[in-house]
Amino acid sequence: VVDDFLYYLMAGVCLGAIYSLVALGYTLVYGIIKLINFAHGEFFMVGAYAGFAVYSLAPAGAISPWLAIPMILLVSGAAGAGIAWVAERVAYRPIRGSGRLAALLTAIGVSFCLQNLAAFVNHGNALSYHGAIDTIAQHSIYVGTRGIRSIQFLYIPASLLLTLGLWYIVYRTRLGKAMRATSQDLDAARLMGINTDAVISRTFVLGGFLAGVAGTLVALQSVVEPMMGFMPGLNAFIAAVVGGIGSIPGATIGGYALGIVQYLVVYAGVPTGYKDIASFALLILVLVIRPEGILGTRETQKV
Amino acid sequence: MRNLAVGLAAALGVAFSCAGCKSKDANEVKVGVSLPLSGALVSYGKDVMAGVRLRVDQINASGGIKGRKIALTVEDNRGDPTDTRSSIKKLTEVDGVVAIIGPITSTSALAAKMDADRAGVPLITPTATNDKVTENTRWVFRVIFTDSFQGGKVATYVCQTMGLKKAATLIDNNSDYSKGLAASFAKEFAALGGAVTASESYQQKDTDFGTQMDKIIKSGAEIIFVPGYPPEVPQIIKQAKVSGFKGLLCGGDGWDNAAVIDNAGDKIVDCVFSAPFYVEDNRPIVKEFVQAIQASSKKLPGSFEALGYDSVSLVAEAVGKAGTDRSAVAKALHELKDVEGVTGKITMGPKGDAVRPAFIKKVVRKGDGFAAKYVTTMNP
Repeated sequence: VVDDFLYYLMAGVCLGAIYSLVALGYTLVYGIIKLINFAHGEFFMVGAYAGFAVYSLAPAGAISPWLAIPMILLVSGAAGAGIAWVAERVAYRPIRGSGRLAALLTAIGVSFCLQNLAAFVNHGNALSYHGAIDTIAQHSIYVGTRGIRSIQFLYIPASLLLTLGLWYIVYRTRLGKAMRATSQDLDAARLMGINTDAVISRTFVLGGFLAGVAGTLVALQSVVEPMMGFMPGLNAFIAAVVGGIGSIPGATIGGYALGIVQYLVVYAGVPTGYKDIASFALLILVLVIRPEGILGTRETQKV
Repeated sequence: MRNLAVGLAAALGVAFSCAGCKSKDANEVKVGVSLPLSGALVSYGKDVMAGVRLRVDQINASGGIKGRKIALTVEDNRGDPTDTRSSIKKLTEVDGVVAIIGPITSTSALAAKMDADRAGVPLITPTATNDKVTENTRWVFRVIFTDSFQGGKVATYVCQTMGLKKAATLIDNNSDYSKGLAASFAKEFAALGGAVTASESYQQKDTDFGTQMDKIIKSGAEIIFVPGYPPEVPQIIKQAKVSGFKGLLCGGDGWDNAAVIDNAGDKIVDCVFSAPFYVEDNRPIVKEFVQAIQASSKKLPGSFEALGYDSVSLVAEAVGKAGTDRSAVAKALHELKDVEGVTGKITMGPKGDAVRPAFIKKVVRKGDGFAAKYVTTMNP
């Protein structure tokens, strides 16, 4: 029974690692411009497509798969960052100052736009990795009698490494200081001589990078398809809210908490096909009990 | 402003539809097609479309239906029930088709049924297997067999021929096809003395099936029945290998497609499923069909191409007998007998379901890849 419990906990932590990577992007952007970027799940998907494009364009067997996987992950991150930069530049910047509702609707528009663009590729047919890369990613590592997909062992270190990198940037660099200043008060930051447009743009790039890498981590265990960012995006958004949207440690904690809760519900006997219900239930619970989230700060309304 | 926009759109619609009916050859027989030509099920949609096109070209090349050529109007329904409903509306109201071929999935067919009923247009689904698709309507027809039939036959083959007595089912929660087929498999398997040791579920777009597989392995199942579609089915087969499942997997007609067989890794070898068509069939009509599909699609046809091809044959036969009045075509479809098709001689049963055998197929290695091979025939 303990063995069972640990297995489900592990599955939850792996899923949580992905959620936390995506949730960080939501929280960064929300923290700085109060925008819920619903297109964030699509940055995840674009990253996965870019990774797959590199894989399928490279001649088979040209480089060792052990080298190819990290390269594909980097390309995915770069593509996620790139599309985030483009989206911010083309869609969000022109309407900045037109209110939060306009920005939110634009985000939904960007999301649909990217999904449909992706559907042009191979008519939206799901793409899967084959050959040596697939063999490595889908290789089973036995823990006791249980086979676990080897790629899942990469989730936690990859997620921790990227999260630490992000913390370093936010809390130890000039860019991070500018980001935090912009997040506290955009106008004051601008008056202090911070180029807030550039800071916002870089915030999107950072979030997009994390989402892109997460996209290929998931694609290596499953498939690449246009709607693949939708549920992870939604769940990561919930994770960000649960952890306290705007808070970076909150997103990490929220992500892992959500993944674990989803699988504990399965462990408790709910059919796996219904595990997403757990995230929505958790969201409602948090919104009722502690609307600012686990690590969020309560906003006082000034009259 | 909104009213203006709606009015404008309506006016344009009318203008286009009339322009359509006047400029085209009034003698043509208009047939509508509603298939997933994009999205997760595009592989099914394209294959059915290849069969439909081939048969239409053959009929038109040999002079059409009593001298009248078939004109196809093709709509992409993306495999989505809502889009399918709008495509049926458009095909009947704007294009004025005589009959519609499609859709693919049971969930979409159940949604389209309402519109076919309301509009009074014969809807010929090549592939939707859920029993309810043809119930309580005179307008819906199916070329493939039903879930209660194929589920029972797979259960019989697994239990009696393979001698396996412990099975698990793994069901797609969002699919009427998956739920209906799993239920009929489980019912027959239990009736034959087997035990269903676990019944697990997943959602479309899920990417990890580890916990389901874990529960199934622990239940002691020797075979897992996975009635579903790509991209989940091939991932589940891969998962079975990763998790260390020692037995085999089996499925329904949805497996008879490259999107499943080519993407599932080597665990698919020896897996079995039911299908309404097999390429090894010796009849001349099948040989000609296989050659033609190979020439156009550069691969061997599966059930989806074959069902698309036969759907057109049925429509052509009915229109040949009854003309282009929709109600008369529906009546003629109900009375079809022994129409020679690539999936066999087709006779319409009382509900609008084609009466036909199921073929059990098994996946074998073929060169670097995999292919489905005919094993046996299961008669009704």
